[in-house]
Amino acid sequence: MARAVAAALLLGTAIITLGALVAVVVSKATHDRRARAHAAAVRVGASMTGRVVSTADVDALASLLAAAAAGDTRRQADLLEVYRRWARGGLLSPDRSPTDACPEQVRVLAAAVRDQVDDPDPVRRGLAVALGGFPVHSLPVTRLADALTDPDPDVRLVAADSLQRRGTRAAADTLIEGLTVAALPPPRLAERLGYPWALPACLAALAAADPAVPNGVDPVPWLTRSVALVGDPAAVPALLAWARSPDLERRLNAVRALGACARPGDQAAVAAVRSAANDHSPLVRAQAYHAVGRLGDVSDIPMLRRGLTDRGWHARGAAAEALLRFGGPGRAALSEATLLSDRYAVDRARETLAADALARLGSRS
Amino acid sequence: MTGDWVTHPAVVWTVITINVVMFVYTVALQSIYTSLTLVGWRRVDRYMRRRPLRDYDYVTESPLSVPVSILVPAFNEALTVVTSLHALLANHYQQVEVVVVNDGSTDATLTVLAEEFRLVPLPRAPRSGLVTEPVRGVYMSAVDPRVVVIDKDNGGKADALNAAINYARYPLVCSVDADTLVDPVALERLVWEFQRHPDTVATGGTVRIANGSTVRGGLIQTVSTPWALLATLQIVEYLRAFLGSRVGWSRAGMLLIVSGAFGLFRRQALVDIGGYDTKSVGEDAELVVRLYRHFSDAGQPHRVTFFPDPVCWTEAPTSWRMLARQRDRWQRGMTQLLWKHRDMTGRGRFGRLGRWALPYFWAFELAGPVIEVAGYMAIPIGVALGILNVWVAVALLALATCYGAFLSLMALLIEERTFRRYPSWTDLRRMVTAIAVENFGYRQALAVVRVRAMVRLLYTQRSWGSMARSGFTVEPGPAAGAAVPVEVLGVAPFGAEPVTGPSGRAEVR
Repeated sequence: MARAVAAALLLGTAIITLGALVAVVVSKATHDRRARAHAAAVRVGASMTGRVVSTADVDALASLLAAAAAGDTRRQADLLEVYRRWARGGLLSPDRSPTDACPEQVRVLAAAVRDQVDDPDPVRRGLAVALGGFPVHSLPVTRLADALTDPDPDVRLVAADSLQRRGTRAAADTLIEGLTVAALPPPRLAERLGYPWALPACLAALAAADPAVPNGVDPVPWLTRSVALVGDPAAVPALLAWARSPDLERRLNAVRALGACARPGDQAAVAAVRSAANDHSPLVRAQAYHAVGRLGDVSDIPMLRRGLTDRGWHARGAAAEALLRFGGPGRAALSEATLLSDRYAVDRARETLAADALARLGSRS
Repeated sequence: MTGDWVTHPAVVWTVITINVVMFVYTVALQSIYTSLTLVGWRRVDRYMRRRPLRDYDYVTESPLSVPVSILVPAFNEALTVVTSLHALLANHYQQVEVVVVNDGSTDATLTVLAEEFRLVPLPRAPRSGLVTEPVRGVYMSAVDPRVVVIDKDNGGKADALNAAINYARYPLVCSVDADTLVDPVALERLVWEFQRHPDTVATGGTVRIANGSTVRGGLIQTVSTPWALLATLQIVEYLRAFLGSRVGWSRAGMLLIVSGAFGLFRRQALVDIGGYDTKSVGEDAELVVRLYRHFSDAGQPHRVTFFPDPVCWTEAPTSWRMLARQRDRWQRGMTQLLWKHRDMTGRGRFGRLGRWALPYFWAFELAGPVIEVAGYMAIPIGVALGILNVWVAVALLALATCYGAFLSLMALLIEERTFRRYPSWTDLRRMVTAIAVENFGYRQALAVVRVRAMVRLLYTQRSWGSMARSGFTVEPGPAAGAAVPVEVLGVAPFGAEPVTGPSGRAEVR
């Protein structure tokens, strides 16, 4: 009996092991074929970037578009990769695109994308949302807004990508709305709003923001980070108010943004960052020192020199970096600081001077 | 009479007990491996379907992506350290600095680095106060400001990593072995994981074996299995471990190990727990367990994950002696770790790690080799004494062997369905051959090594040992420095300087 049971178990295990081996071989053969199709798609993407496009390439692109329109998710993924490459190369715009060679296939795919946005499978939904972000198959912003609140996080992320590609005021408003409902981690939305086309929407949202900090995600710090990415002086008036906010995160990011957006000579901005250099938070003081380095003048050197002995680690480093911006007088102040009794100030000053010397040496050679 | 002891009840019951325990152990272990492999298969498949949705290039380009300090401890790595560094600097993810720690090398490691990167002394202040062996000097590269070299007295790998953490300036740190080659797109995928899940404190990628592959300019050019069986056996083992087990453990929230060869951590979390334990042999696993303990005690959300897509390549031992030494070290490290944190075992307070993972490691990774070796001895003894039916014994041994091969083939199937790093049929043939012979000596010998390691640990031996480096198979590549086609962002130490990134937009951190 035991022998029979053992033999049966052994036979069963041998069969499934053999089955696994067959599955490995079949899988390899199948994926070889798929890899060739993927390579062909990638070749189309690379070869259609030039001025002269061959008939073979147009046929290959038409075939890829048709397969994608038929719902083949692998070909849709290939097409997405091709579109991303073209977009980075500046080849995709509403007026001009390599897909202009296949207008009928593009029209069919656009219709398929609109239908696929409601697919129950999140991967198919995501592919549709991603493809619909490109000018070739534009999905309405309202559909992308719905996707930004999709239950699936990958779909939400591609929706944010697509809204960024849209680059319109409506898209910016939708992304800002996504901030308030925590559709994605805030930095993932803020980085997609850091463009000139989103600036008016960000400034309007800042002007309308509640002075009281909400219970959920506070959009103000992230909006100011987005504004800082743009670096436009037009944002300064909006930032000045937030630089005096009682909330640390709001204040910190507003001061940071002032440093990025204001220009030297903007008296209101300079006064605001100088005032922030006396903030009780070392994090705010650090950002203030950075900003003073950009916006201030040699009269700020004594303040920055005191910043070298700031009790905040970040603030000390920021003060040292800011001093370098004042050229000779700033370097002289750092040199003097190497004689202080404060070990941390001496360390920062030495490190900053050495790094600066190395950088200048490198730029000369 | 001479045969009396053979039929003594104590002898009979001992042999039977050992065989029963081994049978139960084998069934339990294979069940767990099967579950992990199936979970791993499902997760990897799911990830591959979703991968096209993820624009990893965006992570590389975004000015709000978190910068990374890559920590490279180096001890007598003159042969491979420059190659590895160039690979790191050529990584797509450019918001990095590379902190190399020359841990008192007795070869030309520092000289090689100084010549290649034109090092100059830089009085860089440490950012944290982890205790380490004395630092002799800090250097910065005159040709690439992303490279910082710390020269210190020898203190071991953990000590070197702690020194690197002290001098690292970015919020994420990535520990990489000096002989490791990191895929150009690996780092952005790890960073993506952190940015997707902000409560992540540690995440690891897949370690693959470079033996047989061709390296040019610090990058893997052609992936291939070696003709040497020993290295191919390890390739199969790594596939099983990473694509099967680790994905499964990670999915279950019970990942115990983030490989020291390639792992990304929140710097502040490492500082909070006091850095790596310099007294541990398996410092990478011990660090992870301590992270769990710290965050559980603090009641803070935390994730420790494994992500199969980011890949690094390392050289596997090519001789049995070196392999035995490596596995000896791993087993001693695991034993030490489990003993040190034994108070976490079975405790629900530490979540699934305490409740399930640690008991598993005690039962199967610690006691398992002992049971296995005892079984290998008990089965033939039982047959010889007439206690066990020879056919049943043979059938059960064959069953265990066959099922082991099945699990390895499952890992190979996951590889073929997903990443397919080994494109040729020759590679497949070699790996299948390795799977076929794996359970005829290789696995058994490693079990003996592991048992011996635990016995040796009783005498409190702890050292790295040495590993003879043969270097990678290198084709002549472009001159160092000239092969780096990417733009250096030139981020100032405190991120104060408005910089213009690849997108041309101003950004202030």
